[in-house]
Amino acid sequence: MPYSAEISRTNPSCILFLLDQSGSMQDDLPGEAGRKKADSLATVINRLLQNLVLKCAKSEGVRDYYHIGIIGYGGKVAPAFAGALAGREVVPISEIANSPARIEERSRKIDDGAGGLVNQTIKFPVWFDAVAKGGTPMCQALSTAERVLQGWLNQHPDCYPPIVINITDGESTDGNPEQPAQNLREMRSSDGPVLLFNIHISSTQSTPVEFPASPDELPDEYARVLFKLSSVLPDQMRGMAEQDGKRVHPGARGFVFNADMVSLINFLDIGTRVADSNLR
Amino acid sequence: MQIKSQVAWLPKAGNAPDEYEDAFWPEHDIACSAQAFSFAVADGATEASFSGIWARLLTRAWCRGWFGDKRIDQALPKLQQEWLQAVSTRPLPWYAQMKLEKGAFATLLGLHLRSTGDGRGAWHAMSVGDCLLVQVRDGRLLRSFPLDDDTQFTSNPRLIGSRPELVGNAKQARLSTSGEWSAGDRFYLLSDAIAAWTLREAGKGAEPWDLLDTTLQEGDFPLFIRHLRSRQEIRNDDVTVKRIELA
Repeated sequence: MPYSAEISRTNPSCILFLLDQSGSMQDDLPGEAGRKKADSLATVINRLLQNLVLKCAKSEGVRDYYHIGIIGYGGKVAPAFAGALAGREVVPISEIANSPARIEERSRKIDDGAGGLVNQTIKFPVWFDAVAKGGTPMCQALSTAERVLQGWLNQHPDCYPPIVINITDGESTDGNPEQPAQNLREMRSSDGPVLLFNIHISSTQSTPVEFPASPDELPDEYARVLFKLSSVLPDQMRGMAEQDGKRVHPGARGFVFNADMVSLINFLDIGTRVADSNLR
Repeated sequence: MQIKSQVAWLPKAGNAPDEYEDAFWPEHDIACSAQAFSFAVADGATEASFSGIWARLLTRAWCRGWFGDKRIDQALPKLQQEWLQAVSTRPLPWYAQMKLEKGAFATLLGLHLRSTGDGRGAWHAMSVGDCLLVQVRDGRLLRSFPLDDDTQFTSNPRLIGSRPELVGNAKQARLSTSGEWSAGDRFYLLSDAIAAWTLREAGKGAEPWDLLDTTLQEGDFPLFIRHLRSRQEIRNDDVTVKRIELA
């Protein structure tokens, strides 16, 4: 059965993020003046990395169940870790844990238990900084992912298949991404094909379309292109999405169109949580 | 009553012995005569940090009688403090500190036996979560607690947490039961992976306790568990078996 490999320190899994850093990511999130898409995405990614570190952290240290890569694409296509990890394409989670670019103190409001709110200061490690400049060279990003994973799969041929998560707010500006996406999805480990998921961040206030099973559920041609780029959700992930209250039909793709930050976070949680039950 | 007990344990496949997060008390085999005796087994939650330490503190506390109704309100906060002190002995990296603040979690199963004379007695047990107590008489399953079917095991058992605000949850999650014992009875305290296998085998009409006894006697428990794992008859997880025989 595919997508059933155990993930362990000797057989880690790889998660690769492809993050749109084009100029339009400077725009505000729809309906949220002052909150830029790029900044919100950076917060979401940094929080996700923190959660992955905590998931792997044990009493003796951080177990390298995952190796993670972040590739930004905008004015250039390049690895996007900041600080000591700058330039690194794929990094074991223990190194990520020990090398945040910085640890910020951020304030959040929490319930004071008496009907009010108080400010709480929390530590917020940062590995990735928001950038928003240039076009959307998605084809080059997908080809870069293919090259990176070729190296990864040579070293880990029996891994739980790598997961590539592409987050974009617009159309590719360097050609039709269907072929490079297909090349990526045709790569495989002994446990199954690489998974390519796509999340489109909305520029208008619209209802997200989550995990569509048919292109007919989508509002326009661009959405249907991204649909075609996306892998079908493995059964285990489909089960998790259903457990979270989503209606996810057989054949549903790992794809969200017109995502807001909430659906982005939920999707990323499902896309990376699958490994939990396989963690050894 | 004459009590003999043995314990066998194995960490999850792929983990080192010091990464084992179950716990048991007493921590050594027993052969003695006593009016009363307590045993406990606990299973630390993998997702939390320092759960093995927490599991151990819980088993020891049960055997000291700290989980009775009158004592638990003072006992749990004391244990939580003890845990925090044990894990705060050195400066920790940011992620370890964050994990510490979330606390540790574990299931707990405690058994208290007492003699009423003439090779008979009474017992009571307490459970939070899915460690299993099995009582066997004349080769037959007499009682299992708190579960009686292998389909009842889930990936979300109730847990006792090490954060102070979780004392109420622990009290709410406790299940208790009691029974009687006669000379010759065997009790097994099992952590969840081996517990599920035991109930499944019992459900098929087999006598898995005899197999457990044989492996304990012959000292080949690790081989036995590896065999079950290779045939996927048991989930890959820490395994603990505490066997008690009364005379």
